[in-house]
Amino acid sequence: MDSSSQTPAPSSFSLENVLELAKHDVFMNNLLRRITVTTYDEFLNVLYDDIKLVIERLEDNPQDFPDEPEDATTKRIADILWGMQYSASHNLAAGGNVDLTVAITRLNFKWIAEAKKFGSVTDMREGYLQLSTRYKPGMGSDGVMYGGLIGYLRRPNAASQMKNWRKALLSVQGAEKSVLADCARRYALGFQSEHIHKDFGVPLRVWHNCVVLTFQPQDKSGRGAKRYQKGEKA
Amino acid sequence: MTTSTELFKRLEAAFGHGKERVVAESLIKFLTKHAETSHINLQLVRQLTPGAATGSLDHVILRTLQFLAGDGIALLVTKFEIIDEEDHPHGLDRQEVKDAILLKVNPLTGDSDSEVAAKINMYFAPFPEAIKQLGEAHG
Repeated sequence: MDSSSQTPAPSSFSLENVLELAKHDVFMNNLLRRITVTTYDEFLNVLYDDIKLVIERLEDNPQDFPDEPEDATTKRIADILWGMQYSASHNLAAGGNVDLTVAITRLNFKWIAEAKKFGSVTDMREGYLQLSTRYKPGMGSDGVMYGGLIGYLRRPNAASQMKNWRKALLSVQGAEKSVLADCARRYALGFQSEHIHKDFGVPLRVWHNCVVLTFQPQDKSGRGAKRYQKGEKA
Repeated sequence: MTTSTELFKRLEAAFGHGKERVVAESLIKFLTKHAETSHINLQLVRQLTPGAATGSLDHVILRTLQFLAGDGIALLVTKFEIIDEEDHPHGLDRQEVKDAILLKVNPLTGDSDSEVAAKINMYFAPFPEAIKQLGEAHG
């Protein structure tokens, strides 16, 4: 190929070039939005978009960590979030060990999440109670507290499992009057809930998320591969 | 972030064992020797990183720089500038950059400018104290 006909690489990080470089890179996809965050709402919006990207990245290759304990998977999420410029801690002590704390410390913005192996709705209930009664979630400028509940699912039919949890949430003590809303980012694999936080007396809005880590290939090579057979038990 | 060992461990946990470490090591080595550096741009990091001159590692360079400027690392700070018609740079704050991106308004003139994204450059400046501490811990 004649090298003179190739487009030369840009010589600076103009915003135009940054946006082009960021297009297909999970770490940089929302880079300029993150850098220019000034309000808690903006922080939350870009963080949720980034967490969606992180979850999709995990879901792309669940066969790489079939028997991983929930703590190790949460650490994976925190590690990727570090690559996205966040300060992300796993098991930070604050009224107990918060599974995931994500912050932009220069702005004093914080968001926390509880992460559970989604073996049944009981696991999610336990996680929800921890999040809503043990820890102090971050608060937006609208006086609403925000947190997340992440379930690692290694069973089939994720949408149905989330539907069951959505229904079961309304029988959790303290959350009976929750207002539920669909999730525009994760569709049937997520939803939002809001109820009044018992201790703080302000609304607590929780983003419920299911990370689908099921890996049960039914093709011939998948059925025969020893490395995937443990995953079938989950 | 206090030691280079912690920093590289964190970097590899985020990106895996890729070229990001080479970029970071080359840059930190340079900054340790040249404490007066105040303007880190794409050209400089390309020159410092082996095999990066053609631009093929630009996305790795950007990944690494934004990591080093990240909230919990804070070795660098992200800055923006716009060059005027007489080639003079003017620093911009984050709100001006946000407005320029969202509204396509030139922050110098206040006029609508559909090409403003090509006129604003991102660069990085080191936190000299953090680089010094890292160098001492490394040395």
